[in-house]
Amino acid sequence: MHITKKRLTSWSAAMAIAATVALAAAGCSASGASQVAPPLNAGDKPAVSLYCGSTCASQLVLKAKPDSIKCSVGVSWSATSFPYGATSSKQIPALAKRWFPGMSVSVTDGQGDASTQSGQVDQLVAQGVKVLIVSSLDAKALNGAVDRALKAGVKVIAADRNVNAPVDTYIGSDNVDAGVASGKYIAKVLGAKGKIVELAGSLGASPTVARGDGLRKGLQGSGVQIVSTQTADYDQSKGLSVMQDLLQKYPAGSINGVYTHNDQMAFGAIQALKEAGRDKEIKVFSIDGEEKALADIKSGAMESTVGYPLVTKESVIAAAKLCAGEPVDKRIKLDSTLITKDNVAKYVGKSPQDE
Amino acid sequence: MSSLESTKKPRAFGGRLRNNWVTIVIFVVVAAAVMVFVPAFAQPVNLVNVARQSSIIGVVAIGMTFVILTGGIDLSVGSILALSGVTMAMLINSGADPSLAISVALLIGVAAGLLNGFAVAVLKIQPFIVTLATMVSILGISLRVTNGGPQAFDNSNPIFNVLGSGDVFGLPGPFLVFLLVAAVGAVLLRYFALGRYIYAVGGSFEAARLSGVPTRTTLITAYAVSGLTAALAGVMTASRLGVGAPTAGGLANLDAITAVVIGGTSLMGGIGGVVGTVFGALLLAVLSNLMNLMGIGPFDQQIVKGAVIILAVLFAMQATRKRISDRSSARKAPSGRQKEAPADPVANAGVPQ
Repeated sequence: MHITKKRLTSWSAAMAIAATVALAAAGCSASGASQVAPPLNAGDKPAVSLYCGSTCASQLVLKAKPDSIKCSVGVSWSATSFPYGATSSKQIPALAKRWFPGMSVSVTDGQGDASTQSGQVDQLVAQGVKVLIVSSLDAKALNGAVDRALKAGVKVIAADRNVNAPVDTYIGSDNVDAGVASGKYIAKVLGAKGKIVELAGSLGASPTVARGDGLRKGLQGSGVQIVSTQTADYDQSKGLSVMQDLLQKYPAGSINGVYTHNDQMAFGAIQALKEAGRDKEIKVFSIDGEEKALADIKSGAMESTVGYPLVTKESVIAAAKLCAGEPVDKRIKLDSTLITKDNVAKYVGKSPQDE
Repeated sequence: MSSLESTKKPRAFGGRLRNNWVTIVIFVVVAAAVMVFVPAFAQPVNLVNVARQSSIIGVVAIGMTFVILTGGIDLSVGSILALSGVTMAMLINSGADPSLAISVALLIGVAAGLLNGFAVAVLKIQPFIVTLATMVSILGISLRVTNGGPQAFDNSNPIFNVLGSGDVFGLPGPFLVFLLVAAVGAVLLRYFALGRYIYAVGGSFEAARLSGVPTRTTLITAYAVSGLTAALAGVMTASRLGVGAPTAGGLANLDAITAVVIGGTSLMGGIGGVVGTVFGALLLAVLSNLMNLMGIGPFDQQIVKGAVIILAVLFAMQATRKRISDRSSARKAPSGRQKEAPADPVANAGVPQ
């Protein structure tokens, strides 16, 4: 009995070690294939992105010399498990290193949890950062920590999402604007008799609410009807299955368009339309502007998307301005650029989600 | 000792069907009501869609059934699903042959499952904690190797078509894969020593150990099976979309557990089987399809889904209890069944009261 037990243990141990090695090896080989830095169309001099219009650009002129910027910056992003957060958390330190050799950046990942992120903000303040770039999951959940940071004399930049606290500046495009731009274009393309379905993002998330409200604002007075709204959680495979169901509910000829709250869901919807042979009948209108969406617009599979740009370059420049003691406007707004087949060529390779 | 007894002689197929009758009845009643009230549902195209939509969670749930039957739980399936899809996509992109890429993806799932099983069986850590930890770490690996972004790959090879979307004999490929996996699972659980060991370990770990059941190997194998099916589901998802996404797993773990429990398998272990799980997965897919067809609002859908799950589990539990009391009273009085006889406390040990 004892011997059996021992043999079993060593056998299991060997199996587990083999499993660990296999897992690690898989990780290594896979990472070897993809160790590409995120595309970064930035030069060696601080410059705003394509999606920061003339007003935005004029708000972000740095008077001090880049070499003279010497300070520590903390970055607190709500989560890095989605492309926007992952790209932002990687780009900000990379840009800072390229433009401002004297700027040191530490990045934290809130892992989608407001209390984790709140603790990280406190910790960055305790470390003595001079500027804090914070992108919160929820405007209300983080105001306590941000208030403490402000009281400690830290300059705070709210990036992409605003916080309910008197921050020094809030940099980002506006989700309502993105919805409005899309709604107006839908009204123009489909005319008064249009009927559309809406694939919404995760229920209750602030971009979901804003992108839905924006659409309704944009459609106002146009006669276009939203016949159904269902959530697909910003997920491609859910976009596919929910669209399949909706195509079943609305037989040929009863809808002309689908509005999706992000490109991932649009990709799923496009697949459902193609499989049902109804891609000529139903037009796809989306938001975000991923590189693949731009390709789909070029090929005609997607009608339009509205750029939802990264704010990495703008945040780093604003951080430098605050470090140098220069005044920064309370609100810096990036464009919600409508991208259709007429202007897509201008943006290919410079997608708002990579730029 | 009831679970051990049940392991001595495999029950006949009729017995297994009876075990799962409640889920099957609910499924049939819901499906029939739907066909009458929502005509769009019964259209062949829609039925094919529902079958396809049930497949991914269904495959995960078959492996999950093995683990839950041992009295354990596997929360890491969603992360394994994502890692396997991502691995396959990246291998294809680096020029690997599709069959090699699929094999490696599946092996990763088995490896992750062995790791879970080792920690549960040998290190004696609670399954909930073990798989919670691997869930987080494996998701981290997927995010790290992809830099957080979805990996698009060329899925034009026919093998991806069969696994992901294509039709085989008029049925969607993924659904056939699901049925095949379920059949293999059912045979393993019924006709192989492994199956009897799994029921024994889930029924009473100590009793199983004392009667010479290789408990460690059994537990490790159950988690390896779950890892394998989760990886297969990952391969299927990626094949369908042409994308391996690190976030693809989502709430697959909770959906799979729901399908298993609705299917009449007890979270305490030792009771249940894959036939019920198949219908549990189908019921979930029908429910969500139906609510979309009826145009129920997205907020209300969640309320309804939760309520239906509670009801289905309630019915399944009643049936399990009745079955056990039937069995124990039949044992006490072999000549005739006394349905009102008090239940044997030992026999009831594995059932939530």
